[in-house]
Amino acid sequence: MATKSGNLKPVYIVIGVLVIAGLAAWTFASFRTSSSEQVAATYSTTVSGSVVTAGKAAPTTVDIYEDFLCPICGNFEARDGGAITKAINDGKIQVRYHPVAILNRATNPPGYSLRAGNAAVCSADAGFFAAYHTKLFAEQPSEGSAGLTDQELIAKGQEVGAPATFAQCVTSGKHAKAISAETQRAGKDTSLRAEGSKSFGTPTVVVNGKRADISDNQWLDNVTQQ
Amino acid sequence: MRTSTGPSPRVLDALGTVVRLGLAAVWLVSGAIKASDPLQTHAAVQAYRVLPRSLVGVVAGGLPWFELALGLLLVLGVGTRLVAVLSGLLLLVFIAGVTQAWARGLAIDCGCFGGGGEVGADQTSYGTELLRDSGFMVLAVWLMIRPSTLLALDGVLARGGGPLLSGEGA
Repeated sequence: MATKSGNLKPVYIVIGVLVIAGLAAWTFASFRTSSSEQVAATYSTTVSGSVVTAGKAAPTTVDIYEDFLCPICGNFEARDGGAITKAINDGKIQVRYHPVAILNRATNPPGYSLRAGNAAVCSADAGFFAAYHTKLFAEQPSEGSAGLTDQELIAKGQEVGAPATFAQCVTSGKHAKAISAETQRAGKDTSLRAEGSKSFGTPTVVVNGKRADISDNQWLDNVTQQ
Repeated sequence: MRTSTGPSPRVLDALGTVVRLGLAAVWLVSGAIKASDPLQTHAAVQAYRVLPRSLVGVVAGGLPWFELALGLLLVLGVGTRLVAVLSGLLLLVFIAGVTQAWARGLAIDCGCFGGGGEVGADQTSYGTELLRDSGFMVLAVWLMIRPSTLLALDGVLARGGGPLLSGEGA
């Protein structure tokens, strides 16, 4: 290993280690926007309050708390959305989606989180929740932007098959109250908080009543392969 | 390297070793935290609002491993000067990122050691973050100017298998 040729060797080692790091990044890249396979939902949904239940009763119940403006929620959906849809289709899990509005102040004008959550529950009323949910995250506005207007939310719905009743549900804010109430409830529920955290954040995923660690990209596999 | 009036090379080598291992710890800790929570890291990179969506994923995926690699190389003491230059460049990128966020009036956490993303306007700490990065920059600059340290593989490579405490790296 050690020879007198010395001086150039460190450079090769540095390059070698950096290349290995690059390969590691490539291998472990658990998040690539395009990696989540597109899966068409075949499940149906029911609405209770502001909670959208997707799929039939299954051995595992997964609660997903999300804010349509939250970037990590968008990343989570991009990474795991396809796999979650497939698991619901296959009857392995039942998912209760809890749209919450914790980032109302992060748009200008404020309130996109609440209006988007309302529109998502409206889409469940009208029977096209899965496609709309995917679309809202795929075309997510960024924090600090104006968000989307009700008209834009309606237009996006129409692109994935919204019936005429959808617009009225969106503009009237039919489910806004229920979403605000659910947001409050979630904020007070200490079982939804990350270990050591003093506050509730999104996305929060709960598997059979126990908070799941979604930074582990195997979390869903661990659930469905039991 | 020094005239007889300055501190002895031996003392400077020892100090340099502390600097090298300090900078190594910075990269290893920040890299490990970032690698263990890819979603958070992705959000942190995104929050700077500099990169297009497609590049955010590449940077967020590669950055933690690049930091870990720099940390490992510094622990080993291989190519210390080159690694110090790379460290300095990366720190410059971080400093530029935080500065532009501050100047544009974004309200974000730097995500330097995990965390990151948008925060309340009253919760930013750009000044502290820049000061900290500047401190790390001092470590990197030391090693660029004087990469010779103790307990470094550089010394072994240069001496053809001489004692590890030779202090004649790079």
